[in-house]
Amino acid sequence: MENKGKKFLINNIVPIVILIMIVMAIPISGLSGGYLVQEMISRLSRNSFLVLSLIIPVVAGMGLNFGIVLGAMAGQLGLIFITDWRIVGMEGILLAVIISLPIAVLLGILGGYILNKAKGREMITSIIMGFFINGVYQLIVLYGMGNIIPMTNKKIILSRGYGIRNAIDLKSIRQVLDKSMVVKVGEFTIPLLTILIIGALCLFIVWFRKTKLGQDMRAIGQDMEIAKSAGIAVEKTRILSIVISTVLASIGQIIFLQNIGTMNTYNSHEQIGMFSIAAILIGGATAAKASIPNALGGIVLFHLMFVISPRAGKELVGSAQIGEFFRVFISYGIIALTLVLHQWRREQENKAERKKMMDIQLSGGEK
Amino acid sequence: MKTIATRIGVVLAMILLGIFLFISGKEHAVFIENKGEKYTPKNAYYILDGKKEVKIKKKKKKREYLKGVNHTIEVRFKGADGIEKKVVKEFKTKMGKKITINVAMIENDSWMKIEELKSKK
Repeated sequence: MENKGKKFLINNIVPIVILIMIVMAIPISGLSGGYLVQEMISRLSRNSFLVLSLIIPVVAGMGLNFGIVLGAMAGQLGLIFITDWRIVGMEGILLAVIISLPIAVLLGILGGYILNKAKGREMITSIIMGFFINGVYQLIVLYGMGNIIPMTNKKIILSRGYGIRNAIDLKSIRQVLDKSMVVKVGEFTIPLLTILIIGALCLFIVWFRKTKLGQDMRAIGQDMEIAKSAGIAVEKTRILSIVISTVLASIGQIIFLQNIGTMNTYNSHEQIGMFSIAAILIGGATAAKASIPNALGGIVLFHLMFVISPRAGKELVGSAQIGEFFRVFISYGIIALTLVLHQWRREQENKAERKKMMDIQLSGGEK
Repeated sequence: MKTIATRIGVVLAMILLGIFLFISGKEHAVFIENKGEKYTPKNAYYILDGKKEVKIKKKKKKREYLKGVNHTIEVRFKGADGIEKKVVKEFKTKMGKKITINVAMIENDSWMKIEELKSKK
């Protein structure tokens, strides 16, 4: 019984620590329950798609896909094009998705191929790959657009005649998804369509895990060598997992930005990778195990902290800036803490395995 | 062979859907003016695609943005004889064309003017 409790505590140490911090910070912040619930509904609908896109690569044993930045870039390219062509409303969002799909697939294939060459170091490789592709993205957006790729909308082009402005107003698609089907429950506004889309993605993930491909991915995630000897095309399956994740991330970034209504051309994609990973880790996921409750629970915990900490910081030390620093420190600190805990847990498991083997050998020797 | 055919089919369907979304979601600027040749009402009111009613004063011009191709305009004004009139017209927007609707002449044939958009360069 004591062991069970200890195991539960070890397995859920990150969400428990965050939950304790949140429970302590809520009364200090002075924010009302109603406000927090509404904020969580809004933030769940904004971020869930992106965070859920991280699950499939974890199933395939590729760790947390910091490469979702690649998908986000593809989504942003779609949004730049629809803004330039002045495609508005739901059509604009769908067209942005259609434009971003092939780009996301290509980037996913490239990412998967590179990660196959760096087996065992997927996470750091995907971070660096994100930086590399970010350079290519900046070259295209800052120099190519308006120069090589024709652009007609002067509002998004820099005054020199080429390159995209630092911030693009997405008023043509602002909250189109969120406001197209709204349900009022008491004082709360629920963006039903966005929630339904997220629900569909959750169902897809549940269904996908049961398919042959999903089972193959799980087998690869558990042991690549055994999966290979069982006849599974390991490298191809790993590439597919990254492609799916990148495509989902591109759609997720479009959903995210339509909710925000403004796109930071050169920064939006960089932030989401780190924050999405922090969110799923806070939800109790590890680099080897992630589920839908981890993703959704993580978003709630992470964003609760996001909303509460600046106010709590302001109330405690009289400066909102301190709260902001606290928020950044927590998000990066959580990633580091979880990765350390994951490594520590793996070492403990290996140690226990070695001890077990030794005991078997010793008992065999005695006989 | 079947896989390749399916993939080509999916790509073609996506391209077709993209073209459809491009046409149906494209935003067009439409100019509404209230300036008749013989008679101009003091105030006219128009409703574009069933949205909210907008007032346009005598000899004024307004710019509106419309999504897609097929549209309707409902115009309400007092005629020269002092009787209130209400006219509903249908029109189409086209890419690269500038459309100006004259609400004062909505009953005439020349209520809509279509011009080529000037190059921005």
